[in-house]
Amino acid sequence: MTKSGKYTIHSSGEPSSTVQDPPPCGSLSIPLFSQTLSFSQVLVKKGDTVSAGQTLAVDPAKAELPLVAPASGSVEEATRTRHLIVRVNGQDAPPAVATGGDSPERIARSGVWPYFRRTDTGEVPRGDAKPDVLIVTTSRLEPFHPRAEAVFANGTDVFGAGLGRLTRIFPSARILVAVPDVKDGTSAGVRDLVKSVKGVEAAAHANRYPDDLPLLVCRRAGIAAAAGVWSVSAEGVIAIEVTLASGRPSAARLVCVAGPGVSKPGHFRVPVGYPVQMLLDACGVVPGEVRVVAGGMLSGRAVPKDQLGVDVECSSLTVIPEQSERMFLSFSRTGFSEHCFCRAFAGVVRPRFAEKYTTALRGERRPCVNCGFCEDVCPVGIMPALLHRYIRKDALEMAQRTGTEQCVECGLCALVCVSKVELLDIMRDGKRRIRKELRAEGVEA
Amino acid sequence: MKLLEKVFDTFRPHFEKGGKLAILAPAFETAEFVALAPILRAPSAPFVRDPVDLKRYMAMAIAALLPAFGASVYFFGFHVLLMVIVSYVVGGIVEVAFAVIRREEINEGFLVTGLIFPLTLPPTSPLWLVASGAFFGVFFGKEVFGGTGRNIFNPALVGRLFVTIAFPGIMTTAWLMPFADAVTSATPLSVFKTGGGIASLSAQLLGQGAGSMGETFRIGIIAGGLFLIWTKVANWRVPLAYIASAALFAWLGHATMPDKVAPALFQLLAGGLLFGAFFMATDPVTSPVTRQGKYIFGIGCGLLTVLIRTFSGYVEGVMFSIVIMNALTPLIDHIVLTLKYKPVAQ
Repeated sequence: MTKSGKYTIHSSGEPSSTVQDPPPCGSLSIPLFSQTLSFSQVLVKKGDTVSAGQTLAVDPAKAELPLVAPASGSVEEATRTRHLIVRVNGQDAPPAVATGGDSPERIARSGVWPYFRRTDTGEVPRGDAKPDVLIVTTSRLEPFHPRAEAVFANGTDVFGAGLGRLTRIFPSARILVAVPDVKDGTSAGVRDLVKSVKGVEAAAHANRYPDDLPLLVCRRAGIAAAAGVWSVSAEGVIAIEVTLASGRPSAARLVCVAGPGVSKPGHFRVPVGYPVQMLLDACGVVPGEVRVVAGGMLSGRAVPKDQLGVDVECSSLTVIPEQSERMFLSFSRTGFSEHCFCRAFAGVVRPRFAEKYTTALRGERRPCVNCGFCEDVCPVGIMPALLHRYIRKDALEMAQRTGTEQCVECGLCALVCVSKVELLDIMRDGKRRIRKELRAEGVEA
Repeated sequence: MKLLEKVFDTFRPHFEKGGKLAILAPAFETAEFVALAPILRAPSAPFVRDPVDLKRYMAMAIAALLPAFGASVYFFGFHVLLMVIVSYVVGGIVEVAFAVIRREEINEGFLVTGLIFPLTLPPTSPLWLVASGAFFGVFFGKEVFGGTGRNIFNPALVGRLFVTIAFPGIMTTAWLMPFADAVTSATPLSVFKTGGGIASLSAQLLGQGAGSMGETFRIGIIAGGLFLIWTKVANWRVPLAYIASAALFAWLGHATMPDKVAPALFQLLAGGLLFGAFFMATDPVTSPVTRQGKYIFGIGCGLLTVLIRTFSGYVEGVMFSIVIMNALTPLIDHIVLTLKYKPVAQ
């Protein structure tokens, strides 16, 4: 008998907490896209000289959200590869970040807006929108987001100042800072700091995935996910503070490159556009095919093969080896080095060990047999086995009634599914269709 | 491993489109993937998966049945093995035929059905009876509903019901004491029903009494059932509700009608109740999805078992009670869901 949500993975490839500088690189490949943004209106052309902080392109669908140059240089390529190739000229000229007081517009114009996320759609909010509630996450527990020890490597003062600045920029927003409930270490220090900042509340959560998810923080606080409920990471708060306090763009993002597919996982401070391949090479990718995932092993998205550089939403690259082995009589193996929710493998007798995961499905697709593991593991107590049938049959009202909208998209149901049903995809699809068809939210607010 | 791969690679073209044996592609694929796991990768998040799959899940269920199965071979001899083989072969043929017709993969569910079904039969059942029961069970109990995951009734029990009703003579006289050769014997439940008193506790636990092949070694059944619950393959709610409610109703019945209703402990250890509670009522496809529904299901099974044992012409009520509750499962789930989840205001 397990309580819901009490299962998570322990993967090999955990990085240390030191933040490294990446190998120097003379040319940036700035993606004109990110997970939820599309900077389709390009404002520069080949041959232009750009300075750090200058607007290079905008996403017209998000109230002209700008893509800002992370460094000064000259544009080598602007149209062919969905990237802006900029040859860095090393000029550290003071940037053209708009001066002015604390305001949301200044955050947007400085290029640090994409740290915000809407909790209902997972997208970056429009540049002219304001939050009613802002959840600040300080320790993302899903492998392999940047570790709190790396984010707060230089202490918590800048973070505290950033929190204060956000209370002034969004005076009508309720700000909740999610901190894991641990006695010692970085997070305990963060918790103490939050107590000293006026206008923000601390929201404690268990030190275990998925309790850190903003949607679960909302649920515990009695807040419904909506267009005005946003989340932002601690390094986002720090980036906003550094940018607005100094007037210089925060050119560098903290990116964690880790996972069973790299031999030297680590944290790096890289500018937007830094070549992904150079980052992977610096971490020693294992031989063979690998999958590079942005945004976490359980709930993220694969980085497209044609993405050359770090984009404006990227804060983690998890490298997972692709399955290449075909095991003989695989169902009869003892499995001493395998975690399993349902105790069917010998790894259950070992206290704690890191598993070398691959992308293997580890079974063939079968119809759902109602084993109930998805329900056991779900942190919000819904029944994916039931819901996915409603969604597949287009019974959206029943799907909504039985709790599809409560789903926090943690991915645990699909992780443990015996029949290998793509439950996360189906739940995401169901939520999206309910939003569109039942709640009639067509165009993004 | 490479050699094995080469062997399959050599034969595969015959089973692909245009090959002479293309129609049997599901059978080839099943054989190949049992021997060598296929390369199948997570297409999207989550990008890693738990190692359990349906093959392993069924392997756990079979492992839990081995004590009961081993004991029945020990008690009743070689004929038991033949019965199991016939059950697998006939069930397998039906399963393969439907996989071929539907052009889908062969599902692993019949591996458990093929072992459970013969274990519900008396040890001297003729092989043709086993074959007809296995055919009926897999065909009408599972395949006509759409195959694994879509059946309403437990296929092993459908087969058992069929042979009970179709061949009542054999089914009442084929009971045997363990280690005996040819002398048929009455089961403890029938002895009680005809006024002959109750059997001893140790005899019932260790299998020193006549009964269907799988139900006799009850220590083994309990051990296997607890193993199944510990590995989470079987849920704990249904067996708990079934056993507790059967004990309760038996106790109430025995207190009021001691001649008609056997005492609670004897009832729990007699007949196929433990076997049914741990291995058949827990079948996840045919029992309710909801937690409250599982309790209702178990209580219903317990009540019906005691009622049928006491007031009907049959001596044993387990298989009827489970199948009747299987039929009510969709209704139970519907009621629980409707009560639990109110319509949402848009």
